[in-house]
Formats: sequence, structure tokens, C-alpha cells
Amino acid sequence: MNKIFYRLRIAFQIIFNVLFFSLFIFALPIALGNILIKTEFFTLFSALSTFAYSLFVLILYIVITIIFGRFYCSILCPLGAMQDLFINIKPKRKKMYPPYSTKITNIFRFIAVLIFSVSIFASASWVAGLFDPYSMSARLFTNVVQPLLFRIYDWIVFALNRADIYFLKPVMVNPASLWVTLSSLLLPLAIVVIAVVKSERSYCNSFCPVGAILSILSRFSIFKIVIDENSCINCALCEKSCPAYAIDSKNYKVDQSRCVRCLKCQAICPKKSISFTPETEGTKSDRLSFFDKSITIASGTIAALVIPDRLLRKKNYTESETNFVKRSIPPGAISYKHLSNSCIGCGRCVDICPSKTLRLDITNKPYLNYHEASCEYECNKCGIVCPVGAIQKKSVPEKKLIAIGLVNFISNLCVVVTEGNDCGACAEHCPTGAVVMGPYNDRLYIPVTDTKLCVGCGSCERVCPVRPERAIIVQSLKTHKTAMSPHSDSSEQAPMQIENNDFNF
Amino acid sequence: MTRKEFLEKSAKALGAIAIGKIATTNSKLFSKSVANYPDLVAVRSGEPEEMFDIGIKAIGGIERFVKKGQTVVVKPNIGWDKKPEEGANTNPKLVKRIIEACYQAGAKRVYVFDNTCDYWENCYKNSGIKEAAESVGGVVVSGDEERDYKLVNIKGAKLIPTAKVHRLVVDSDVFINVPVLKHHGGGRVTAAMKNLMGCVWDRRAYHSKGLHQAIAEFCLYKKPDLNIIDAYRMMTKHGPRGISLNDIAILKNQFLSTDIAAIDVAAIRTFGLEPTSVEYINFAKEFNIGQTDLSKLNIARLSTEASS
Repeated sequence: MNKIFYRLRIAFQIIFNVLFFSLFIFALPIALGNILIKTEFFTLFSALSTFAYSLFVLILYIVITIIFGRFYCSILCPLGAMQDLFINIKPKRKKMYPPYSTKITNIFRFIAVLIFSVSIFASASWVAGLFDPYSMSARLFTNVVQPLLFRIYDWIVFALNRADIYFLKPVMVNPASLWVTLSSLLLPLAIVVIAVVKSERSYCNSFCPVGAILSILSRFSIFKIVIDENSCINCALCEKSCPAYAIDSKNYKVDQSRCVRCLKCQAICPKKSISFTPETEGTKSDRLSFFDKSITIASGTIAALVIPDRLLRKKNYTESETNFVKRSIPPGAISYKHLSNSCIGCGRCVDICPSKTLRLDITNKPYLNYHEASCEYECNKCGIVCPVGAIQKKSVPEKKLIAIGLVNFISNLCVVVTEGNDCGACAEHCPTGAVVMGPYNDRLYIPVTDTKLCVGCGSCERVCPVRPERAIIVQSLKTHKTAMSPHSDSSEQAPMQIENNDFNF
Repeated sequence: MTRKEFLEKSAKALGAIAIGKIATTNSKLFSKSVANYPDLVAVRSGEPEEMFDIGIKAIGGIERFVKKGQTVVVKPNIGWDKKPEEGANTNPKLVKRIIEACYQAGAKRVYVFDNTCDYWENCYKNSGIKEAAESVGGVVVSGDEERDYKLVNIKGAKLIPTAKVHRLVVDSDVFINVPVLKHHGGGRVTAAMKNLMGCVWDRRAYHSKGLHQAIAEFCLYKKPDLNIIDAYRMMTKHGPRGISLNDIAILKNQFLSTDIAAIDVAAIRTFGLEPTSVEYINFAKEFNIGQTDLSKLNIARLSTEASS
């Protein structure tokens, strides 16, 4: 009986996380991916002002945690699963560590909640995203694991193609910058290495903002891990096996706030002295010192304050004047302000972007790199997958009218002017007619731009052959605008029918 | 000379004579038959498949180009993430019919590829060409991998003396060029010669060095064995990508020729321009790519109505 819950918990954790991680490697349906990602605590929290359901799910999580404790950490958390995996692989620890120290870790957790809350108040969700387990795992897979696996896959495709076999398609490898790759790799690696080498799930009880918030609730959970003093033989197996250092077996005490509800102790206890039951009289509950109490209350208050802030963050940004910035942000991101408000830096948009026009900048926020690719006119995937609404979901016709930047033609660099040659690559690729070719010097044609039609997709900038500076560029808009529809000249669109009874030659 | 050497040498000599003999008789047969075929076949007023069936028959049948066991590469225009009715890509029905015909003629494999402008998978899928080609056994290959392009020398070319060309074009036995007739912002009109730009990896070189001359110079490397211009839908403005269906004229024409310059001249006339106003035709004349004077050619003008 004792082991059933433990095994069930592990089964859920494995099923969920295998699905979750395969999301970044196999082309799972987008809808399934969205469901998996939108179970993550931090995405729900960040999406409070965007998706109505996130409030309900979040309340559900809070209720579950108050009743049962931090099961979230041992079932749904991807970084928790990664740590558990390595904890299970590594040789079992023989030495017993001193029991938990509530004081120190409470300070850490308080700092985690503080950083988390301040960064959200200050519209810099990416800072919270640096330490958030979901964003961290997603970045690790998008920027490190996936590129590695895709390269190997690509070699296989290459070899097969050379053997005249074509059933596998080549894949686009995510071109993450060195900074993004390193930062995506090192943070989770450090946590996993710490987990393997020494203190197992210590990240969950020190730096993890989600763990910190849940621990406040979990401290008062109704169901508790309880050690039966009468049958306990003080073998300390539970204490040794506990990955969260939540058990003090000598004093029969369990720190419910640290406990991630992995249920290992229950499964390992030879005397079946550990039970997971609603608190009954006679069990020793953790007495909080004044210091601990005040810290718990303080972090609880801060965390509670952030929720209304998230809920009530306004969605409309009306900055009328045209402000240009260095880099364009994806259509649906509304403005730089909205993006930095909401984006948690998980890199999901970069993963889904078919042409890999989207890249992560050093703060893990997406931007468009026009030098090698451009925003596909018929694609709206980044808005569909964004789990927090930092890139709002737009239908394809809606998206086609969002101007993320405006075209700027620098005529004295253009090959038509400098070389006296026809080119027209920019107009050729322009999907809206914002760049067309107009007569120039008798025999030539030169680009003519119309910023009213421009959506800033960057097709022109991508294909412009002029180097080092390109002759046609997109000036990125700080706040997105609405472009004029390229079809406004006539409401009905129909091809012309030509009846010809002969040829023109 | 030992006996062994003597035997070897005489065997080689005999072999050489035999090969020479076969080659001369074959070339004689070939040149003799060429004279009977029209240089250019123009078909009108039908569906793409119908027009192809009539056209290919008139130009000597697919067997003239595809021999048993040969590999064929069909190069349509799949440049854009656009639907078939938007006329930015070659008609998938035509591509399908060509592949079918090649297999009927005993082709070993028929490949289809293009170096696309939009993201390749979306182009292949939304143009309808991937599905059409694969339904009849065509092998659809990505043109998006630089490793698939081979560096070749182009003799006589000044602007692009070397180019990276897709290995299917370099290695396949038969090369069939299937462009769609469209307006083109830089090239004025895009048809057969311009379509070959999709066989090349580095298109930037074309644009920066001189588009028209580069288009003509590529034909010095390799001329397609057969050109088939899809003018069922013709993009009259905003080309080559097109903005709305208003840019499209339904013309229901199709041209077939072995002469890439001649077929382009016919296409440009159909589009409504003087061929000499399109610079790459003048370069084609200069480089002797083909016959740009249609009056010197044997043209078959056909209609599906007349034949039925």
C-alpha cells in the first residue's frame, strides 16, 4: 500500500515529462504542446492577464497544494523531473547529512520570492524567467539539446540523401547565439550537478521561485507526512532518502514546506511508520520561530500582491508617435513594453519559427534577425504557441496587417544607382506591395517604397545584395502599428479571364 | 610487343571503333529526327494536363527526351508560399502529368526541387506540388541545403564564372525546366531562363553583379533538355510573388521547346512586351544561347479545341 502512491506518483511524473520533453524534439501537434506547457506554474502566473483559464488552474494548484502539499514539484515540474532522474542514476549517498536548517533556506526562499516579485513589478519578467524551472528547462532543450540532436539527425539525412533515399526531411537547426547557448546550458547544468553531487533537490528549496511560493502554502497543508513515533525504529532511512532534506528522524519532525511530496520516505520505511494523512492530534507539527514566521508572512504577502498586478496589467499600449528601436519584435508582441512585461524567455516562439527568423537576445526575449531570414507572411505560429500571451495570438489575416517595422530604402547604396544594373530582389520578395519597382533612367527600374503598406517582415532586407550595409532595411517599431491592407483598392478579388484565339507570336 | 599486349591493344582499338560507330549512327539518327520536330510548340485553351499531352506529342513525345532507366530532374517554380490559384508557382497538375509521362517512358527516378524564396516546406506544401508529385512517385527533394549544391565552372561566363548548382541538375540524365509565366519586378518577365536561378545557391551574386547577364550566363553551363512554360495562369503585375488574385489572368496557354531562348521570346510576347526590351534576351542572343528570332523557327500552334 505504501509503495503504490509512490509508484503512481512516479508514473505520472514520467508520463508527463516524457511528453513535455519530446515536445522540443519531435513535431508534436501544437495544441498538445500548448496544453503541456500551460500546466506550468510560472506560465499560468504570467498569463493571468491574457488567458482566463490560467486563474482557474492557478487556483486549482493553490487548493491542491493547501490540501496535499507540493505535488506540483514532484509531478509537473520539468526541472524537478530532471533532478530526480540524475538523483536516481547517481550512486546512493552513504553519509548522512545534518538535518535541515530552516533558517538559512527560508532566507533564500524569501530572496527568491523577492527577486521574482520585484522583477514582475518592474516589467522584467525575464529575470524571473532566468530562475523559473519551466523557462530554464525549455531553454535548455530549445537551445542546447535540440540543436545537438538535430545536427545528428541532419547527418543521417545527409547520408541517406547521398544514397538516394529521401523519406527523411532535413531540419532547420536553431541558430542560437553563443551567449544564449551557454546561459541556457549552464544554469540548469549547475542545478543538476549540485543535485547529483551533493544536496539533491536543494534548488527547489532555495532559488526556485515556484518552489518558494508553493512552500508557503505547503507549510499549512492539510495532508502531511507524519512519522509514527511508536513504531519508528530510528533507522534514519527516510532521512537519508529524502531529496529535499525535509526530515529530522531523530525528533520525528518533517518540514512540510520543504517536502516536495515525492513519497520516497513512505516507500522506503521498513516499519511502515510514515504515513501521508490529514494532520491528527498528537503529531508533532513544526513550530515556527518568530523569524521564520515573519519571513513566511512577508513572502506570502509579496507573492499575493503580485497576483492582482498580473491580473490587472493593462493590455493596450497606445503610444501614438513612431518610435524606432534597434530590433523588431514578433507580430502580436504589441510593443517593447508589453513584451518585457510578459515574456518569460522560454524560447518557445524561437523553437516553432519555421524560418528561424526569431532569435533570443541576451535577455532571452525574441527578436527578428532579418539578415538570414524574414518573417513568413502566411505564418502566425509564434503567437499560437506563446504560453504567456507575450506574443498575442492573431489569425493569419490579422497578423498580415500588423506592422512590426517600416521599410527604409537608401537609394544611394542600391545597385540600380551604383552599378546601373537591374536588381529588384526587394520588390520581388515583398508580400504586400510596399516595395515595387518604378522607372529609373530610361531602361532601369528602381525600388519605390510605401510605408503605409509595409508590415516589416524583412523580406527586402534579407535579399538585398548590397554589403556591408544593405540598401533597404526595416526600421523596427517600438510599438506595432496597423498596416494598410494591400487589397484595399478593390473589395472583390478575381483573376482576369482572357479569351484568346491565337498567340502573340 | 608481347602477345598479351597485342591482344589487349587490338581489343581496345576494336572497342573504340565500335563505340565510334555506334555514336555516329546514333547522332545521325538523332539529327535526322530533330529536323522533323517543331522547334517550339504552343498550345492553348485547355487544362494543363490536356495541353501537355498535345504539346509533348507534337514535339516528339516524352520518349524523345527520357530514355529507359534514366534519372530525370523536373525543376518547377516553387518559389513562394502561395496556393495554386494565386499563380506564383508552377501549376501542380502540370508537374504531376510530366512526372507521370517520364515514368511511362521508363525513367528510373524523377526528382522535383526548387531553391525557394519563402520557407521551403511551406512552399512545397502550399503550392500543391509536393502532394501532386508524390502521388505519382516523384521524389521531392529539398533545395534548402547548401551541401546539396556543387561548385561548377561556367565556361564563357563573365559575371558568374563559377556557381553552386544543385547536384540534381548536375548529375541527372535529363533536365526538364517547368517555369510559370509571370511579371517580374527586376527581370520584367520571368519564364524559362529566369527559372534556372532556382538551381543556384547564391542568388545574391546575380542581383549584385547584374541580374540579366547572370540569367543568360547560367545557360552557358547547362541548357535544359526540355522547357515547358506554364502560362495557364499568368501573373500580369506585382510579380513574381503577387499580392492578390487581381494580379492573375487566366490565359490557358502552354509552350514547349528545347530552345530556352526561343521559348522565352514567345513567353515575353505573350506577356505583352517586346523581347528586346527584356535585357536577358539580348544577352542570350549575344551568348548564342538560342534562336531569338521566331520567324526563323518552325512553330506548331495548337489548340485543344481543334484536336478534339
